[in-house]
Amino acid sequence: MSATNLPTTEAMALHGARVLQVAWNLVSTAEDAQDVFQETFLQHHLAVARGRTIENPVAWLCTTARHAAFRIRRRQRRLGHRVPDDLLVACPAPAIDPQQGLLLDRLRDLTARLPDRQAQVFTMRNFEQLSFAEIAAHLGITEDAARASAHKALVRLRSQMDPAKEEDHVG
Amino acid sequence: MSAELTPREFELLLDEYVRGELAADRALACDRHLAAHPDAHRDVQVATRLLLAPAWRAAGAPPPGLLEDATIATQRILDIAAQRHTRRLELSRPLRRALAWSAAGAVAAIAIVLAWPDAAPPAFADVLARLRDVDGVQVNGWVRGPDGSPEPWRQWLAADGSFRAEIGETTNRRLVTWHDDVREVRDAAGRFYRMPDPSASPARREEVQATLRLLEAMARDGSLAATGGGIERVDLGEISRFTRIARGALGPELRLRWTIDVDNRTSLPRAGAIDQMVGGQWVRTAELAFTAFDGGEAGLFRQDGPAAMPTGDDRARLWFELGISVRSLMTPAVTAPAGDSEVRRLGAADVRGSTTSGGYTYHEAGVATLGLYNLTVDNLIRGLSGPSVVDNAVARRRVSLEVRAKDALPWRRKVAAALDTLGLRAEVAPRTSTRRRYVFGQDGRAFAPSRFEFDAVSVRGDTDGYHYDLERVPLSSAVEMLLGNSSLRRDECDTVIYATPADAARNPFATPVDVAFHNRDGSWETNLAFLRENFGITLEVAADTMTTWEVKLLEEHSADGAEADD
Repeated sequence: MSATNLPTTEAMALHGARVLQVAWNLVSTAEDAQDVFQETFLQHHLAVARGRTIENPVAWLCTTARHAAFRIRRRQRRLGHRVPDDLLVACPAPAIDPQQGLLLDRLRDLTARLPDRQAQVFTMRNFEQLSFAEIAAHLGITEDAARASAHKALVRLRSQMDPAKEEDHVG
Repeated sequence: MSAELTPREFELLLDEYVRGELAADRALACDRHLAAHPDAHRDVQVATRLLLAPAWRAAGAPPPGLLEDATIATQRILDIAAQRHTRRLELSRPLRRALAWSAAGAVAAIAIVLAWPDAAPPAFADVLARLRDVDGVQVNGWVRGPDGSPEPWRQWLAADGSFRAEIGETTNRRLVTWHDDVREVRDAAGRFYRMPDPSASPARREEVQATLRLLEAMARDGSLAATGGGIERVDLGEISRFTRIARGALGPELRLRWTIDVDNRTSLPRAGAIDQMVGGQWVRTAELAFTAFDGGEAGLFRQDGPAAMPTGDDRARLWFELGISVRSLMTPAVTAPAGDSEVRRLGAADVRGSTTSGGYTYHEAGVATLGLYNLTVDNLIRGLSGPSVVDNAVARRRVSLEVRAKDALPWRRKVAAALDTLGLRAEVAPRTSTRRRYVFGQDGRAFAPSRFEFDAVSVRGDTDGYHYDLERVPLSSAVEMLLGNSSLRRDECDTVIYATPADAARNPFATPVDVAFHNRDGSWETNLAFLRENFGITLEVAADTMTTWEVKLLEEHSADGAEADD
């Protein structure tokens, strides 16, 4: 059976771990990650049932998962934490502590509120550590287009994390 | 890319530059750019701090077991979809609720979970999972009827939430059916009434909290912590008996107790009972046996014949029958208030120690219970389905009381006893107001549909106006987002109407579109100009005069129009 006709159950077995990691990067709880996981594969089920051809299952599934995660975060209205720039100092080694957890949640919220293409690119670059070549192949765009989206996202995040500006809320 | 980088080219390389991922020649070009443009150093510093922050990797790997749990849960839903050829796999959240409605057993499970909203021991979760697989539910037993005396009860529940309830016997037999948002009641004298009743539709119930994912979590390992009541299980050999107690919303008192006996062999419920705390004693209000788990006979859920619309007096007389719903599966009856309603004062003993104010409402088996603790008295009217209340000193008076009323009665009858207790009266007067209708049209010009595959919405108000970034949203939604997020005041637009020409080949307002627009002054006029220019939107504002009713609360013995001062 060709990859484009992969049944959902098989897709889940082959790519479930990757999808779950994508979800886990972007949401705050195991329950939300499960929601993202389920929604992703149910969308796959529907797409296959409707006869749609999925050329690149991994890319399709991960993109779908990111969308689902963004939707969850946008619905979870949070009062964002204004994180001063000095908390962003790079440490010699990664440290998972409550402060990093706060910052992580802040980054997740801000990323989810980016325009969709920027959110996708920025997530793949920063949460998933993909190269621009990989991102471009994943999304079917040029490398420079991926770089441009990433830069726009960086500018937006930078402006939203500037303590001189008021906190904003997505309406 | 040129040897000397333009600012734009430098921007494109900034990410890889700070990460050290550039080839030597490009890294050198960036170094030269920085030497020539010192102000760009700030961009490098910010990018370094943001892009190299360890927080990006703080999430780590998912916890052990989550992948397996997610896979099992998802496979279960896929199995349901495959078995039932599920028709409406709507992808809008909550997707699982759509699937949950695909089986009468699931509706029963939902109704049961309404009474058991917290986690349960695994055996009970198995019950709910098992219920999802059945086609129908039938219960037989007895309930405390409208006059408080026990009478026979039978109820069938179907896949779409349709139900049939037979109450009483021989000369006092009543029949209630519900299907397709229509309720039908045949009273003991054979009089037949039919009325629209979308409120009984389970899919619209805001209070429905259960989702399949909740059921999955409960079936997994009971991992959700039981809160606010606790569930006890007693092993009685062939059956397991589960008991749950609900406390008051504000206070520590026990309120209702549900008991369900489950067959350990089939994991299906055999029997259930409900008790209500009255005067410090548990009073049993219903006992039910689960007798069948099939779809029932065809035609069970509708009644034929010429029907009348119930009058107000009919509704008052049939308050119990009008309160029957899918939730009656677990809470078919509670003690009825004497007369139209009962009132009791609330005191400090009725609330938890830290509570300074609060309220609650329950709608159970045709009885509405409204509790106000140190809240303004206008909530009494609104909470029992009354019209809006004029703001005056009396309406702002704070009260603490609980009202139990027959839900189907007109609001005046429901609040009468409470107003009498408080020494108040309500005067209803018509109020004429102007309703402004915004009628949007489209001038027929072609516009670009969305170029995106998925929807995304971002509307952000900032010090420099509004930023709208919408991807793949229906044009009507785009219009409403620009309308609702602008300088337009709420009272300037009551109704929005989309007018599509009858001869239009397609509905332009249903077409998915993209909007990327920065409205610097935040005004609706600027948004409207954008919509006109880009999508050919037209707008006609029509003003209508309309009459509504409003309530004025007054002291019982005050002269007309006089109000007491606080």
